[in-house]
Amino acid sequence: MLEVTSLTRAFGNHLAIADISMQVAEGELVTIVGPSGCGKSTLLRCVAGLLPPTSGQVVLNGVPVTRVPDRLAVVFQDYSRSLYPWLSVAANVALPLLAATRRGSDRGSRRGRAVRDPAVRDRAASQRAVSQRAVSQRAVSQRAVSQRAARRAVALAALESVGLGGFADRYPWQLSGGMQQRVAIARALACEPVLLLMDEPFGAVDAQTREDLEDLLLRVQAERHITTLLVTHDIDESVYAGDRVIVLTRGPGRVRAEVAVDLPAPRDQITTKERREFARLRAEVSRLVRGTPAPASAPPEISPPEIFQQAP
Amino acid sequence: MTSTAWRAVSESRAGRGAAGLVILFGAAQLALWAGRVSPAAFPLPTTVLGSAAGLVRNGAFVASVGDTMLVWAQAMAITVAIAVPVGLLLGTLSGAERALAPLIEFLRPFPAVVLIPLVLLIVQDDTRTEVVIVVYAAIWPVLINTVYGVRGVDQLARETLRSFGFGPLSIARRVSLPSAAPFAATGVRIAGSIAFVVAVAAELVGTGMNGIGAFTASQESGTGDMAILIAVAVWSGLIGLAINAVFAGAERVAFRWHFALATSTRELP
Ligand SMILES: Nc1ncnc2c1ncn2[C@@H]1O[C@H](COP(=O)(O)OP(=O)(O)O)[C@@H](O)[C@H]1O
Ligand SMILES: [Mg+2]
Repeated sequence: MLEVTSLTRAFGNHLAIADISMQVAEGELVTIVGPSGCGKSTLLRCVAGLLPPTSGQVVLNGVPVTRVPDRLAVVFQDYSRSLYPWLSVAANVALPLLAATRRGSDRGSRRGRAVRDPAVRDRAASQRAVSQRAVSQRAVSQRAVSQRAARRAVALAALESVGLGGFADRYPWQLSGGMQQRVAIARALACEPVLLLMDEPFGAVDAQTREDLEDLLLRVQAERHITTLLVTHDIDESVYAGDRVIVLTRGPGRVRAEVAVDLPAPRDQITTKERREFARLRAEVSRLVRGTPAPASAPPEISPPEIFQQAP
Repeated sequence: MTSTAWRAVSESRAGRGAAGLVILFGAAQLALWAGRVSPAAFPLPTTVLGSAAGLVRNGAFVASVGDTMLVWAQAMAITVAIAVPVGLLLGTLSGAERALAPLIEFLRPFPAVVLIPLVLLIVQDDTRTEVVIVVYAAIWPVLINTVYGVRGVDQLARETLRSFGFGPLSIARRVSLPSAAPFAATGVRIAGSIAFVVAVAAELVGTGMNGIGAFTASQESGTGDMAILIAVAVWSGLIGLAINAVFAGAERVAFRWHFALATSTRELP
């Protein structure tokens, strides 16, 4: 579905990511973890087509990414900057839908220009073109009203699915941080993305809210089978949320290892995290992130989660 | 007055301003009554108040206010129509801004009134000259604030829109314009006050112009009644205050989100 091959990006002489290759299957949730500054955001922006790679390539569904692909959604960490304070919550969520319809109407106006060009030479034809345009403009304005209603309906449904049904007509700055990030997630869901990219989406909220948002993400991701790439520097989160964890090295970022996570679904903040398997994976990812080798002997067997697990 | 009412007055800005005026007024009245300042050299504040009230029924004065405000409105419309688009452009194209910044810094400090003879030579019409002069003075705050506003547009806000498939023009319209708008509006408010002051000054200096400044000049050479001159100044001040208040109020209504954000960031520890 998503294929990244030898992706390298430099800023001037400074290498941000080097030779990153990875693959993500349809419907998979892959987490990318690495120390701060190792190039996680750079990788994500290259995948999103927001930043051209220095070398290597990104292929999405067989098509090389050279610009922002259709039906992509990105959720950034800083919700206060990526939500628009002058728009209501519903209008924020409906905004990406506007891009989709706009693309259609842009095509229409390009066709209109093709009609206009020969018309310049022929006065009669030009008059015909003008009256045609007036008729089509009236039709367009009627369609615009119903399209706006349709966009709002989609936005309301998306808000409902993140538990913010009653907040459509508030403004982002009237909501708490966790709620604002829910709005950002609703906005991402509203455009029914085929690929969802998240750059440390829960890094700016408190621990409790973070767990709630992780569970929200896992729920909607499972319901809709959205292929998701989640960047985080939180090792627990990378294991808890991921089907697979990709560990990057300190900058310039390279893939140090991939760790398959076969914790059963649905995951649960308490029962999943008290599993012995979770503790083992967390320790493994943690060592990989720190770059410390695994101890020759088996890891210490007495860890708190294990004690909990032995209780019935 | 009860103590709570006192506190309410002393805590509101308008209340404090009004209190200051009353004190000044009272002090001047007392000084003149006590004979410290000769009433011939300076009219009693109560006399000035009487003249100010009389001006409302003075047809020539009311017409002059209308003339000034008409020039003001035309000049403000032209100022906004020029400075906002140019500011958006300069703010977006950083190269253009860097190239033009020295020119702007050179042109900006010129006292606009000095340009009256030159503009009159070119435009050949007194009222149009006045409009040009006022535009010249008013354009800078709008231009500079708009550029500043566009400069401040958040990179992440743009990138978010780009990630949803919007092109550069849509991003300019949907992100740069709305987030620069409160800054442009501040520029317009400042320009509104400047435009009024410069219009009156131009009318005082320019010979063939109408308006409050011309009315003042005619009073000065005619009756020489100082109370009326001060009364005109009082009315001018009130009009200037009103212009500022109207713009400030409109800003608060139109850009509620901007002020809400400003307050919430200030409240953060
Ligand atoms: N636009 C840029 N210009 C120059 N250097 C950049 C830019 N973006 C990122 N970098 C550099 O690339 C490296 C990786 O940054 P980033 O991808 O943001 O890391 P992470 O998201 O893992 O914290 C850092 O050293 C950073 O300074
Ligand atoms: Mg980052």
